[in-house]
Amino acid sequence: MSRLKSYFPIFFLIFLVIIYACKSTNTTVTPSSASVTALTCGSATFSATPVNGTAFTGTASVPYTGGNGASYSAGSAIPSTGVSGLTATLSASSLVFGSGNLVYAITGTPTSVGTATFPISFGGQSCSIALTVTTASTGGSTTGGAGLGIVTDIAKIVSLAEAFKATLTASQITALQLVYSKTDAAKWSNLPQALSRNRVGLATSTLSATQLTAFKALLKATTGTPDNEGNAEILAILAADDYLGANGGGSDYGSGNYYIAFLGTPSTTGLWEFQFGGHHGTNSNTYNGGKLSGATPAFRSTEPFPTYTYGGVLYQPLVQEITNFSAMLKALTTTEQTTARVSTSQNDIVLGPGKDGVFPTTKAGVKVGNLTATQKATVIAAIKTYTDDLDDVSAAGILAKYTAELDNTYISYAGSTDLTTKGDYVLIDGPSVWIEFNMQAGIIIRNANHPHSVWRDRTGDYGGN
Amino acid sequence: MATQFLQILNQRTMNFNKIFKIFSFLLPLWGLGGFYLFAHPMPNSIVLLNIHQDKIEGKIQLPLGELQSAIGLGVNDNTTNLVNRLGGTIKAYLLQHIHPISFDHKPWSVNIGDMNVVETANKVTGDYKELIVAFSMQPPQYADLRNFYFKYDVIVHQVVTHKILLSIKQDWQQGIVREDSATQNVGVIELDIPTGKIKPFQISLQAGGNWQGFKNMVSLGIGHIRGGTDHILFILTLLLPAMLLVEGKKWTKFIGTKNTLLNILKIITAFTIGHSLTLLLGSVQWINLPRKPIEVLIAITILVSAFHAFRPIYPKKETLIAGAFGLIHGLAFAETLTNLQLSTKQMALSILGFNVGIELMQLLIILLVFPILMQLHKTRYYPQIRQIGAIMMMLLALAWMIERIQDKPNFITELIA
Repeated sequence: MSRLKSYFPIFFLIFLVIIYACKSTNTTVTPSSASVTALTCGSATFSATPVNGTAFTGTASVPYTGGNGASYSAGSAIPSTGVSGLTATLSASSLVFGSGNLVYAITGTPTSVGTATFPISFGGQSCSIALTVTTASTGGSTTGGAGLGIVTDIAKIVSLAEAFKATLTASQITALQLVYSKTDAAKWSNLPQALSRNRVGLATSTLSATQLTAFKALLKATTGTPDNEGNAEILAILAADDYLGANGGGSDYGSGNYYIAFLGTPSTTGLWEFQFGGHHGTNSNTYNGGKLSGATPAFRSTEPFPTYTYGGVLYQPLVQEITNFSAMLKALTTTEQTTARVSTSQNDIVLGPGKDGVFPTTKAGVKVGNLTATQKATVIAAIKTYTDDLDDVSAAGILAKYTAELDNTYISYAGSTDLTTKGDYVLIDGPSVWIEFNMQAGIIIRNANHPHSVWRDRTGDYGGN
Repeated sequence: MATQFLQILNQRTMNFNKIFKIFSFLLPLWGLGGFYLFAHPMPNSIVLLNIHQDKIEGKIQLPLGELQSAIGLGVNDNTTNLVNRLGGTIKAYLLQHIHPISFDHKPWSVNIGDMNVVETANKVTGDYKELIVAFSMQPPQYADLRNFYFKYDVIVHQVVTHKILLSIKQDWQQGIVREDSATQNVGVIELDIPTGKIKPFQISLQAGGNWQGFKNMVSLGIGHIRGGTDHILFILTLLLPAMLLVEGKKWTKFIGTKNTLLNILKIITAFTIGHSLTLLLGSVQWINLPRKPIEVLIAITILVSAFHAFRPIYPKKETLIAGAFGLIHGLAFAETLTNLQLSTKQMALSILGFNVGIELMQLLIILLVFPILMQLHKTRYYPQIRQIGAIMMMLLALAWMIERIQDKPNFITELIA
């Protein structure tokens, strides 16, 4: 008796659960079981093609005939054979009377290239779905793409790079000198270092005065000489970050948070990139075969904007840019402006960091080839405020290329032609050139807007790698 | 917003650390992994989904600055009474831009619920205001709840640089139920730049099932006991005098191994019945008490049991008292379950699983601790050990009581934390 007593709690628990479970029973209509007369896996269609090693979510639609109108519930996951790593799961639905499609959700990460096969069985029929898994694009190699192939003073740049390297300690060199990889090349950002923490290379904050002088000589040799462009512009962007650090931004900001990396050993023949970047500025100069194979992605921004004084010097790095963009838009006729103005809104640039190789397939706005010579000159002047950032020899070469492609280049904008209001946006989109400029609210300096802009090249980003 | 998430996560992690410090010897390592967070550099929208048996509920966090760029109406410039003034308009707008559809293109039904405005401070994006919208969506008959296209283009249809971070907050079948497990990211809805279109986002949730859900509730139950220092200490307090006889208001002789074990069995089952009952009643929300008084009551139960371990105050009534105290502790467990909003079947399985987990953990504690107590009992110092243990427990219970009344930790609770 006392033994029974000690079991009582267990009975009681079970009883409680049963009571609870019975409290409200869902009434479900039980349909007749689903059946089809044929399944045609050979005619299956897929929503997308999986890529080896990349997480995939898609569907496979398998045609059936002779459906009996019954509903069916979700299936269990069928693992793929051949190429493994994927599963196909029948999605619950109801059959039509006659012909229709069964839809399977395909998810997972394929582990090789080839055909993933899923043996399926439904409504009395079975067959095997065959899904092709493609190879991932390699994106870069040690030999590298030709890219732009622009002539530059490679001997001078390499010798200054080596001279800078010679001033560094062994551990600094370890941080600076990396092997070339597209992955590292793509690790630039327009976020302050505290939020990015993804940059590779050597922080400028670690440099001694001598080392900094050697670095600045290299920077100068790779950047242009015009006023407020090139070398002056990048130094102004660095000063802007110091200004932010001193005016409320704190130690997350400042030129010391800019990183220098050599991706590949500097050479007058091989592939290497001189990468320099931080919060509001990124230079990605790729060299290959003694030529400049890529000058982009180049990110340009500044806060404060438009002008500021730091260390007794007045800076205005992006004023020429906004002036020339605005002049370009204002040179359009009212009708042309209507064509150029997009209806969507832009609160940032479109092809920011991480958005590599995803240029739009169609171009919007006004085709520069339809404009007058005077109007065309304003477009070139706007482009020049970016190409002039490169050393003068390369700058001339790149501008010549973009000028040659000018007629097939399009310009568009959002917001106002002054480009000073938050959300204002302008885009120059050519066969090669891609320059976008967008006005945003201030972050540290709250009472003023600040611009973000990026220069990319459809074929020359990362030197074509 | 990200900082908010991180703060919450940090608090949870602190709790975990505390538990690890004290009881890491009790258990094999417990996986904390499986969750990660999106960095949140721009004011993106966030959509959090709770997957239920027959519908999906969720919360949408819309940055008002971005919403204003999309629909105007000064929704960011003037947030005073925003929901009262423009709630209807915003609701109609949302319904135009949220279209879940089944794989065979049958539309789901969508309901927009409560909205409220929250202001968020963010170092990168500056301070900004966001609108939190509750919504729910339900598939048509026979359509699959766990596989569908989420056609969602709120804000991004107009603001092409906008991004929507999509996360699963709760999915019982997959075992995503823990309050502290943050969220599971499923992806980002954004403009497909090459085509200039926003593609329908396919949501295909991993098939889990009842067994998976049950197993997870067992581990939630285990985690719950392990997570509650107070529950563990309460059980230890019950064990301290379990092998002793009461004579003249004092703990005296050993009552024998068999009687001791029987004693423990009775006490623990009574406790289990107690907390199962209130867990059940609480889970179906027949009773619903605020958290604070329950937590204080739990501290009181520890205080009383500790005093009883020091000097018997309810001899021969241990079983009854343990049952009564179980009722109180169950109310605290119930809160974990009610927040999940489960279906009847899921709830039944959950209560069972949660109880099994709690029992397993209690048994484990008893198995680990009781042999030690039995050994200690054989030494002549056991009366002192028991008394000192009881006094320490009383002090701790008092400290917890004060902490829970004042809503702030004191030096004793921080010592154990």
